[in-house]
Amino acid sequence: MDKAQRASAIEAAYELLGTPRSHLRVKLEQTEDAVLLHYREQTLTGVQLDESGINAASAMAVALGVNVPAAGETSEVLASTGLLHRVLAISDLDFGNPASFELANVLVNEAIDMQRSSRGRNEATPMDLGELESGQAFGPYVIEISQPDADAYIAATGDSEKLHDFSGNAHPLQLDAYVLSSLIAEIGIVENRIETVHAGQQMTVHRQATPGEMIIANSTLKSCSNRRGSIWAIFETTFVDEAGRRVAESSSTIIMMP
Amino acid sequence: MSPPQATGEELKGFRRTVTQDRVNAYAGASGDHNPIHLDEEFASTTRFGQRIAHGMLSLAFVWEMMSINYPGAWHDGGTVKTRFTSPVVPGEEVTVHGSVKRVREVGGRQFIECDVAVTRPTGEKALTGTATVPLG
Repeated sequence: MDKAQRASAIEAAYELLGTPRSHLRVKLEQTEDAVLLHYREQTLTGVQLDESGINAASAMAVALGVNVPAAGETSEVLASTGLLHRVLAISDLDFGNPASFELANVLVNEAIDMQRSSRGRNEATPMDLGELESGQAFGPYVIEISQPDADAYIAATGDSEKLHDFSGNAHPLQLDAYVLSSLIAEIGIVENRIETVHAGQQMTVHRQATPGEMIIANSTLKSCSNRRGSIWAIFETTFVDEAGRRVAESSSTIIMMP
Repeated sequence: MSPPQATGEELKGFRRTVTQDRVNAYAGASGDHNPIHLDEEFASTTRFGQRIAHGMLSLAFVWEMMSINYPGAWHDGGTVKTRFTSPVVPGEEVTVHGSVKRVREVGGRQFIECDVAVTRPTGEKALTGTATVPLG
């Protein structure tokens, strides 16, 4: 994709992003000579794999919270329109100009903040329940539990005696609680005041997260079925650290009665 | 205290009162502001007719019980699988309890499987499930 093609794609992309949404499923693809960002059949932007483009592709991937896919492969992610604005701007930078690195850094940090803010506080319109479909991806949710947040969670459960051995670590369930709050925000349960029942929960913990540590959670709607007017949804979530090591896995069964 | 390992052995449990203040605090700490837990007017229109506590709060009680009984091991590969079978209503004192169901070996490693539950004052189970702890 040359500069003129990218400009044309971005112009069309901005039209798409005119309506704020929290969860556009976009795809990052590496072809033989470019990294492209697609939404459905539309290419939103792309960069050639020259020196400048490689820097841009890396920054775009970090902003989206994914890795640059290998050649011939793709990475899918749900992203808000606000986050995609940053990714488009990054793709348009000329990394031959040293000032672009500073600007990219600002844009990437803003994008990461947006990933974090998806923890229950999305800036955009929640989705309709009719949009839910099995296999749908949610996240990534970047979770960073501060020590005061960790303490507040443990205190809220009433564990004032601290008989167990959290040893200054975050409560493992707090990770899943944050993901659940993000999911219910994205689905519009709070905003649309949809009656819900949390019917079941599984969790396996491989190690505890420490306050201040960055944990990345990715959820998938494993199954979604309509039973007598109620929607039964099972979300599976994996939690990994920055190095990609497993921290925990969970599964949540939610019944929604629209 | 040695960790319970014999089939049928009771876990050290506890009782805890779930007040609306605790539910509000949990909502703040977890970010789960679902109105069914917080908004009396909205909750009155639901099948429960009143506000209910977060299921995850009951699960946190079970988590605490497992941490007490199996310090260390619980956070190193512990797995819990639960169903929320009845809502806890603010004001209720619940009993958090469990017992060893069996010890099984998987891939040369031993696991203790426990039945766990949170029971309401009415005798109804708010949560039932299984918690599995690796041994060694």
